[in-house]
Amino acid sequence: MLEAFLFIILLLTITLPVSYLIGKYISIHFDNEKNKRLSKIELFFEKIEQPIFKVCNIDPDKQMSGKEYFLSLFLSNMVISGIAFLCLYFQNVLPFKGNVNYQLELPLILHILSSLITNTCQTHHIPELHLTHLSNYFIMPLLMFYSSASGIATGLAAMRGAVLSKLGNAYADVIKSMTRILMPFSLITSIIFAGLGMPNTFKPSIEYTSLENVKQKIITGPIAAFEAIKLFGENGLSCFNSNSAHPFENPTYLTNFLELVCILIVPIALIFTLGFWLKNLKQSIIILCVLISVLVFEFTTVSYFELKGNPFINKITEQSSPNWIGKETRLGIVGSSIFGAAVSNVSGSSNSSLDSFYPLVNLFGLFNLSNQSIFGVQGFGLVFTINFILYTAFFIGLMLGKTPELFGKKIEKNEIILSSILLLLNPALVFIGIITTLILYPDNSNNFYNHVHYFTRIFYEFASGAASNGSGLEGLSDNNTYWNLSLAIVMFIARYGAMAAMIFLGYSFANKSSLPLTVITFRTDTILFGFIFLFMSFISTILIYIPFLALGPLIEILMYR
Amino acid sequence: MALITEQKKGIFKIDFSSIVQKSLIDSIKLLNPFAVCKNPILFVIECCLILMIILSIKPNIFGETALTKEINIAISLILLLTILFSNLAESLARNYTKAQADSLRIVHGDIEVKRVLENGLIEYVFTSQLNKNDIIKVQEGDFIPIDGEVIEGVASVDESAITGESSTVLKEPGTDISSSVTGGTRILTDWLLIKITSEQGKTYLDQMISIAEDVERHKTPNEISLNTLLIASTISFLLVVITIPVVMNYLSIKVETTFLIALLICLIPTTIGGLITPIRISGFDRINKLNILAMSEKSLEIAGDLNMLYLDKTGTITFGNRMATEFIPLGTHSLNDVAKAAYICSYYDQTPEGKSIIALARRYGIELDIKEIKGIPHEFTAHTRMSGIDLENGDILRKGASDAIKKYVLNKGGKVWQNTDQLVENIAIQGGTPLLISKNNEVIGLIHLKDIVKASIKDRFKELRNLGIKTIMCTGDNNLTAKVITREAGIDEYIAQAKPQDKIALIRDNQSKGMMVAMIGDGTNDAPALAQADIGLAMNTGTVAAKEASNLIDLDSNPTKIIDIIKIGRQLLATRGALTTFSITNDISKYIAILPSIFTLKELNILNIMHLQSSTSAVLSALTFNAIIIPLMTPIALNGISVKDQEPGVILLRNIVIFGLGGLILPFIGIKAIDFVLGRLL
Repeated sequence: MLEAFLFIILLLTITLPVSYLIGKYISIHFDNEKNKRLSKIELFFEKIEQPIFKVCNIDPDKQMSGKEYFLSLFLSNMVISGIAFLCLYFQNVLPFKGNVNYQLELPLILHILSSLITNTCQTHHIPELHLTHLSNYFIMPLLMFYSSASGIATGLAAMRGAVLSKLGNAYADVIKSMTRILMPFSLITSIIFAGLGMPNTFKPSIEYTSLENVKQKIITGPIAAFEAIKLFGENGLSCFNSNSAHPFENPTYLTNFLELVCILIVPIALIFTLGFWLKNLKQSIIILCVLISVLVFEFTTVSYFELKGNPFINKITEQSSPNWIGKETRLGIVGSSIFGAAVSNVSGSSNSSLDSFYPLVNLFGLFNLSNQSIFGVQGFGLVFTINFILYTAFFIGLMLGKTPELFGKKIEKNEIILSSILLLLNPALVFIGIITTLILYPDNSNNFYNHVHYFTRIFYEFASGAASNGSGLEGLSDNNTYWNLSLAIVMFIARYGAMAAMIFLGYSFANKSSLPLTVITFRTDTILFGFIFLFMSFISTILIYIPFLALGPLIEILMYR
Repeated sequence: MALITEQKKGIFKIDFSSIVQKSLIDSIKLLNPFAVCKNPILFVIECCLILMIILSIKPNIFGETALTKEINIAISLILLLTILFSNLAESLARNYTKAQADSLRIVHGDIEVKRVLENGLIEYVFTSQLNKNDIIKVQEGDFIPIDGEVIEGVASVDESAITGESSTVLKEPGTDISSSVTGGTRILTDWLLIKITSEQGKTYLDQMISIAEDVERHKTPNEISLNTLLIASTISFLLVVITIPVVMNYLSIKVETTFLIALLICLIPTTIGGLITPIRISGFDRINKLNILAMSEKSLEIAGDLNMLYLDKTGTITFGNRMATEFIPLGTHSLNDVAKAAYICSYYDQTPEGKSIIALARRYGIELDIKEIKGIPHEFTAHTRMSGIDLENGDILRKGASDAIKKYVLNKGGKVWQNTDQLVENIAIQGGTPLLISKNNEVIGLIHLKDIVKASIKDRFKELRNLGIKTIMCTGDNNLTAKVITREAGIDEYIAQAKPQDKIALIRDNQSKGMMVAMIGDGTNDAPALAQADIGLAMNTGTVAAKEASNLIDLDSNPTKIIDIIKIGRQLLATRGALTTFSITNDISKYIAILPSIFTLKELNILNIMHLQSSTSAVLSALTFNAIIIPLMTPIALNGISVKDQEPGVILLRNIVIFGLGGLILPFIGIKAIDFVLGRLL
């Protein structure tokens, strides 16, 4: 346990200051106040962006309405997907094939596209077998960059609307997210990763003769670069099927630690940005305290149970050995456990098999995926957090006898409708998915435990799709037409439904004037608010999902006893 | 059924027992599915009720069940009671308000009135046949049928039916304040010709009654957003209840349809869903009890949000007129001389200022015989700006504006004492108006005229500050006067020399900054500002134009009632919020009570925290609790929770502890207790 505590403390002491700086950086670079004095860095980036804006005929200062913003983002997403679709469909005809010669089926292509453009990166395909070098190393990163940038843009637009009373320009936000956040940070990280031993080459594979005199090929690629965007963009798609468990993707304990830092930085930074824009850093700190304490609680509990090991096996062997199943020894129990617990919170990348963890991790995972605000996916998680702040403020306002306000702006019918859509989208999609799957493809075994676990897997699969997370319990043999199509639809609706609701929510707030602070305003940057926020966030998830959490992972946990 | 009984002529009392009777009948009438579908929560309960009735007749329609018909019938009855209880709460609130309105309406009902035709003849018509701009004649003993404006005649009117005050009011044409009459009041003496100013059915009382009666059209903004949230949560729980049987079926665990219906009923926010309308209606009822007519349903909620209050000075903060407070002698003249001169000067002056001068002189002990005051009075004109009297004994007395008197005396070659200017200025600095008195060709003294701030107003403004509201006085007076009054009345800010258009511009400017602005006024010149403000509170003594522009009318013409309005507005919202919190925290406990009955798995035994006697007993207890909590909470909904002006954090914490924590614990005790009884019966 000492290792776990040290790991978590070190993780936070490195992540928080870096996130603080990046949060400040984002708050300055994405506040499109006209007439502000630009710093040297901003001028430098402007020089890079000007030609892009000119070529694409974009006026970055033009403020968009909610409809314009959403349609711009949505349509640009669709155009990129269209290009990607052609490249994937004709990947056998196109150059840079590498060692792969595989015709992708239509449902799988749709799943890959839906999964990547929605920043979910759920992987039903096996990159090494199914994708050519062009697809794997060019198309995938393209989608990963674009979807992550769209996510950041959505989050920033919604927040800008609620805090700064303007929505901004979708194209400018997406391009700036790439040039100012994703590109530079990915570049720095990939250099560090390459330095720490990840291969970074365009050579498809290394051939060698083994000791038994057999010729073997080891697949390589631009892994360090790929890894950077996978983690920074909260994507989670890797160029290898085994994701961050692969020795090339995650060679040492140190890289494992750094990968975790990378996953957490941007979501935490965005919450700092909220504070900078509100000119009230205390607000950020209160929210972060709540979110991080949930995170730390999950980290420590999962580590505790993994270190304790599997009670059945320990009983038989009369030893107490930790639960090593599905974990990489070089990453250790703690490194794997914390990564495993973080998977469902932020990114879909994993370094161990979640399916072989103590089922508690599934309970936490399903809770996180349903809640979506404990950091959550790039940009969107921020809006879900704001959404829970909105609910908290709504109830506090009612209890105090005032029209509720969020950051000084009145919460009225329109905002409640939009935030209800955000809240209902996830259960609607997940439950419909569960119902259809259980009716169409029930598990055929006779074992009660298998039934329960199958249900957990289905639940997790849909929850991870609907939360744009992308992690999975695997074991579903999900590369078939039903799974590919159903999840492609779920991910698509979940992402763009939420995106529309978020942008319109931001726009709705942007059109309101902020009310002045008075003695009777309840301040949202107090500890009391933090507690109510935690309660609201917890209760609104638990009330809807508790029966299914009980029927799935809870039964599994109780069976372990 | 008459909800009110006439005790004396014209005085009605609300009859509670008939209200309860009528409410009981109404609540059964409200079971009509078309009436229920306006409230989504009750609609869901009613759908479940229909399902349960089907299950009571044919228990096996959704598959084999272990439950008997009797249990299904019991559950149907509990559901029926749940709906009836919420209907009853609503009917009670509505009928009570209606009764109050009725007592006003009886006197305001369809009576015969005398319409004056263009040729001067009089015809008898019914009130309902009157149109705007018709002229009617009302005589001693008649009710004034409809709001209007006096165009001829002078009469004393009993407005007690509306204001509750017994003193009569004099109505006469031509003045802002006393020329407007309200429907439902009665003429005690003489007669009036009244021009109808409002359309039939749009009188203030009618507006108020329609807000009380027509529930659906008058939802308030916050109620709409809360309703939206309640619908969203109902949808999510519907999804949950639809998914559970699929998963259970797949896991081959038997699940009773009845239990699922029970779970749904327990999860959807029935308590707040049933009480949301009564809460609003009783809020309006409380405001009507204060003798304030609410013209729009939004006004009450907005009142809770006010940040700023603009007040008209005259008639609102101060008494309508300036009063003399001090005589100051000049040079060799004694105070007595000055007071006497002032008395004589003002004897024929009928203005309130003149009367106040005489009153002050009497307080100085001056009492003059009428015989001493013989002469030719000179009235005040805008040109001379002075008034006075030329006495028979040759003395010429004048009082007036300081510069006018000075000029007058100097022109006559008279004498102005050296310190005059200094004293004049002193009075002006104190916010007063100096008048000079001259005798023949000499200025002999000063009169200090002053605005008198209404008593107790200062404390009330302090209270406003505690409520987070900034008070701003608008006046046409000069800066100095405004400043003094502001200080005396404890007002935060003032705007001097304000023209009507300045007031609108200011209000608009503040609204664009997100402020919620209230305006209190009574004159026609206030009307545009009253219409522009989020809340316009007009005094009943005010002009028709002012009242029409406002959304609240105070029948007692007491501006400080705004504080009560704000408190009632906040109370309305807070009650709704508290009961919503209660309703939601209840869910957790009800989940804990019901889930073990549905998940009959030995692995999930750990969830069975409450250890109720049996599954059936658990479901019945939870449902029963769910039903009886509605009538238990109805008094809170109708009376409102207490709202004190404390720190917001303190209020919040208190409400969370009472309604949040209470909502969590109460069901545990309640359900366990009901189960204790039921378990024995089953």
